[in-house]
Amino acid sequence: MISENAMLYIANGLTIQSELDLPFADGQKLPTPADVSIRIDQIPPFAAAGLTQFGPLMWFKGTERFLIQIPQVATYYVERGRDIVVSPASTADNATVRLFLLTTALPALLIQRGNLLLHGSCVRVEDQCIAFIGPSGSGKSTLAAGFLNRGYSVLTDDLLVVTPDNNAMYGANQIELWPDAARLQEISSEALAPVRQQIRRLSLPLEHKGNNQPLPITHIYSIGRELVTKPHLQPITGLARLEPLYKNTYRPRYLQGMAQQARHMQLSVSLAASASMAKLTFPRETFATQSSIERILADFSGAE
Amino acid sequence: MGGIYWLASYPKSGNTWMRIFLQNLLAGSDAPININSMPSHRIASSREWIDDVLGFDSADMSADEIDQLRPAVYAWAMREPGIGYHKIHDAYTHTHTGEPLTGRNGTLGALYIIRNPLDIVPSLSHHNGCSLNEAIDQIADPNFALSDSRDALPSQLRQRLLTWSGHVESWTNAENLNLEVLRYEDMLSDPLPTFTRATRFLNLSHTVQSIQRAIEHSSFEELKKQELSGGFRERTTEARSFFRQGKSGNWRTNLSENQVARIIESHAQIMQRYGYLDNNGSPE
Repeated sequence: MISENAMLYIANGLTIQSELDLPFADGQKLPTPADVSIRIDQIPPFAAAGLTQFGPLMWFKGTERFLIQIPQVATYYVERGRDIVVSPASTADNATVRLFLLTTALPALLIQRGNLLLHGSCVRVEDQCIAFIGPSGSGKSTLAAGFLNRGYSVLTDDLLVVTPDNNAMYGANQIELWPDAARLQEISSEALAPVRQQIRRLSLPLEHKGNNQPLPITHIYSIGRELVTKPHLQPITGLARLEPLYKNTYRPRYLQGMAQQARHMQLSVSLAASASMAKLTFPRETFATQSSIERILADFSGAE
Repeated sequence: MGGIYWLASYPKSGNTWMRIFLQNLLAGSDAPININSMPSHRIASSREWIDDVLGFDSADMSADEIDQLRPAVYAWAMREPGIGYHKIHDAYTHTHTGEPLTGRNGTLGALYIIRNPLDIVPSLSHHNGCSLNEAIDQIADPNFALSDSRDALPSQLRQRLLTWSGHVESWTNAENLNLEVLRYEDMLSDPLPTFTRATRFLNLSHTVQSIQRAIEHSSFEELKKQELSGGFRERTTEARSFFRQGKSGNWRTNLSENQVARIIESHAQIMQRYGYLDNNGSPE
């Protein structure tokens, strides 16, 4: 049973009752029971039965069960898209246990529930949204922070959860920025807390409300840093649109473990058919964030 | 059942050339492979590889923390289909528990390519956009590491190199490692027997003709031509080109007497062992 003191949150279209503090919009006034429960407890003895190993630290049984052991951090067990049990290592701090919950157990739960997960960030423009997809270090968060500086709402950073009807969900209410990226955006690092003490990446808070509705993704930019002097935008058409979606799949091995590759492909095809896509290349060192944002906004408004 | 053959070297020692040779050999085509179509994930320090196998982001851990988990990733290769040939620049170091960074299981062998440090220095200086003296300092620094930023996310994991001598010794003295050592200079001066030795060690099927053709398809002239026409994605921002001269002995025109003396002072023992110094300690 979950503790009576558990907090109630709303994120990724779900109400979440959690014994661990999470960077999600407050859902105190929402009805319980919540869609998802997150408990701190010992992993139940039956959890490991019938699982297949898909990596040195993770095990699956279809979309029913997922187990991952992160040394010195925690073991996370996820069941049927509803329940997460977290068993922290004795030496682990809360921030570390929370960070890995957000990047392993929660994404696994969202895949169990049938969503499409991409490595991406997403920004609201009018009543639609723009997604940037790309691998770690490609500049997603830097772009998101640049849009935030200009007064736009950021729906999510790094983990982009897409509903089967191609809407983007509001995720965690933070952007995670490395100090160099914060400096580029003229954001003072001193005011921000690191996501965990062992690394210097910083948490830049967002202000998500509890009643945010998913928004349609109309534009997707596959981003990358290359040896160029200024941002370059190139439309992606036809079947080539599937490649960046495939390459930026969040945790492809989870899909393999859950045998969800076919569904993932269906969802990707649906998303590719519903959004305009382009490749955005920007300078490796400077990002040229302001001119990149202007290129994106011009493309969005049809001025390109 | 799979496993890994490591293509190990200090940077700027011919590793990319060897990988292009192997890709050409494996492709067996009439035309050279496109150097920009080589799989980029095949370096041991690839975040994409490590993150996929671990199931979480290496970016969420410190470099020291992730080093403790790297052996498990490479050992997992034994459970995946096909044998992999992966580049590695890390020195052969160990985790806190004494396990080799490359893991005890999963490694089928290591092909170690060594190059005269007198020639590495000008090449490093060009590649990294640093002075020759800075490059000399780098190869003598036991704490030097690639991708070592803590304020940004490098695309690769931190790679501890040790000194040039330390790097060579770490691999060539490694216990229980199936090892073959090649000299870059022999790849240049005596390509057929040298590349044949590499091919045999890596257990790849071949004929004299297939090796000869792969050598031609990865010749310096061919690589330079491809880079001039289509660029090379492994070039750094600082370097004007990746494939520069493809020769040995350039140090004679690039380094001062004092610079040569500094390099020899730091690395004489290993240089002598691999024939880069004569019995009197003078460069060959």
